[in-house]
Amino acid sequence: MLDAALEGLGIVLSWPNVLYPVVGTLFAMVFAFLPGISGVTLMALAIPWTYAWDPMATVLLFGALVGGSTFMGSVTAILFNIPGTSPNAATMLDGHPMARRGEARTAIACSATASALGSTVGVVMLIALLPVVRWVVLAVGPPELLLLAIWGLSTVALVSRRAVLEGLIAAGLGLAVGFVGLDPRTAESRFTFGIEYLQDGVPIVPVFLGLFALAEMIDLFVSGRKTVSEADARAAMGGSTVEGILTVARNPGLFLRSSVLGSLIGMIPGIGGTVASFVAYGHAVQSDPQGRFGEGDVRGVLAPEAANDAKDGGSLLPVLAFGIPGSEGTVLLLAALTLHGIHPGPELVSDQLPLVFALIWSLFLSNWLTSAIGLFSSGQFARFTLVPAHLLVPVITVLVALAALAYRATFGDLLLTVGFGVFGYAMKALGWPRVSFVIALVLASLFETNLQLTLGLHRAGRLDLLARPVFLVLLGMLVVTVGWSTWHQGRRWHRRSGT
Amino acid sequence: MAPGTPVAPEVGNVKARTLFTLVLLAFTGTLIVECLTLSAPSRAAPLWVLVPTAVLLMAQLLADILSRFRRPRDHGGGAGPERSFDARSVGGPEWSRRDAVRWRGARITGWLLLLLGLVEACGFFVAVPLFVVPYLRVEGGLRWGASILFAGALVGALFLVFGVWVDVPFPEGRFYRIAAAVR
Repeated sequence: MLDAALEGLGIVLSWPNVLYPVVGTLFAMVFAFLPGISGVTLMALAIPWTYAWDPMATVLLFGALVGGSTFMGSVTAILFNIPGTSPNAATMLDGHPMARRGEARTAIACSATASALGSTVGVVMLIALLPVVRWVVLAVGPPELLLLAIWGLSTVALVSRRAVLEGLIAAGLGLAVGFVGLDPRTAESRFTFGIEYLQDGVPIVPVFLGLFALAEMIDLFVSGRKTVSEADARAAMGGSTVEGILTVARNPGLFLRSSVLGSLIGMIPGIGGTVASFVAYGHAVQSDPQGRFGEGDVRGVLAPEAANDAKDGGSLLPVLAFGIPGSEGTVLLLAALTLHGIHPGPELVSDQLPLVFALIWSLFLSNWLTSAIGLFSSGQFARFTLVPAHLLVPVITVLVALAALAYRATFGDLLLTVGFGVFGYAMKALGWPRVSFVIALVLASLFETNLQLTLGLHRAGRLDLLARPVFLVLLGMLVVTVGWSTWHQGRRWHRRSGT
Repeated sequence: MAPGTPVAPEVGNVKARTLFTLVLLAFTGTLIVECLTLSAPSRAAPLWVLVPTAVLLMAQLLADILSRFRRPRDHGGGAGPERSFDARSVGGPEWSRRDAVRWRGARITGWLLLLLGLVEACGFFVAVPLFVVPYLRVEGGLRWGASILFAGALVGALFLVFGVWVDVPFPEGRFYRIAAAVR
């Protein structure tokens, strides 16, 4: 294994092979910075461009494209409350309040550092679990996925501390919106009211765009603020790159747990980075119920970013070992590899290990390159918060409309975006927590599908929860984290009431 | 709240909160009614979520209504119900600010509806300059020349990247579809 790893590293760093991950990373960063298109779009474009390429060059390029877009999506999330990709939505929750306080530089630096180190953890876990990949993937079934969803939902009350009732209601509404579409078991239409557009459910991208990005622009306009940053020009350039980097060093436990969570969730096909980043964010909130999450707590940037990048490494495991893609990015990766005669599966892992490691090292190099560029440019990025509102509002509104239309090329998505933009602004203005709604919406499908499957297995007498080690471990973690945060909340309440 | 702050804005905010809660309750009620038309397996999970949500919404509505009858806080200036009753005639700075916020809210709603209408009628790339130029002129106070230049640069960049390079299939505008049908 070590020989293959070193051989793969040598392939990546040799000339001219090293050009592919570098150029791929730069292109992925540009695409990820533009809302509406992402690294996935670039990967789709790159497939026909690389028909005649050498297979190794294609492997190196696509490895870089998988890793290069994740960080830049968080930059727009922090600066403008527009997630570059859905997984970056969790970063917005604390990243944007930091930017408004004039700490954009700190947030971006923390994101860059957590991304680079998180991807390292993801790659390490990928390499460590490669020999036991079959057991890992097969050990996770409906009961485990149900517990993951419940764990994520359990954070709802915590993230909406000052408005618990509103938070619970918002979560209920988020779940209800997540139920729109076809029932996963009976395929019956639910809550579509005869509208064909809703048959496939409520798409998550327009919801995020409206609820956060457009709502922020509405708020910027209505409030009459001159710029995004509420601090003056000098303070807006405040914050510190070093402080952002040190945040990761000061929270090693949270960073490691978030990275491991992200990597493990990434290994499960079909879950996606959005769930990973939100579960990590929820875990961060649970780990310190007295933290100022949602108001600009830098740990609210650290946790989802570490999970989001660690997920990249984890998501390669089922692709390389079984040929099972788990996300849009890995589908395109699989397509590109197959087109060049590389067939993922047990044979690839056993017979072409250097090629596998070349892909992994390309991903690793790409993640570190984007983070390094992000760290050096954090100050320049922070300047965007000083763009005058009368220029920013129309430009961002147009970009949001573009992103909504580019998603599925339907006018319905734009209508949905504007509708949720107004809804999101109303929630913000009236003190209702949007994050609870979003967490529930993201987890609704995972929750319902696996609840039905678990109940079905139980009724058929084919479920022995005590014989499922991963389930027991997850249950223990859920009980500990929920119990601990509940105890903390109770202590806080007692202190406040003076008893 | 700072001493001397009129009570009127808080009452107004409570009205907005109550209205918002009512709208959400109506929405949840509609979903529950819709749920009852589904088969038993399909309605189980949604009902388990919607019914408690409706109960919580009613509790929230009650809390919002009761908060309107809360004793107003002492703002140092002897603020009480009489002051809130007189606040409109006083026309203090807080009341004007609220009117200004409402007016800006109406304006941004108008701009968004304009953008929606233009995209549906003319398609995205025609709608962008038709939206951006008047916006910059009215809200930003820019001259016509500067507004047109800015909008042109924006739509040009977007067209090159998304229309040509990425080749995103944007939906056509209604006018284009009608013209194509007539041809």
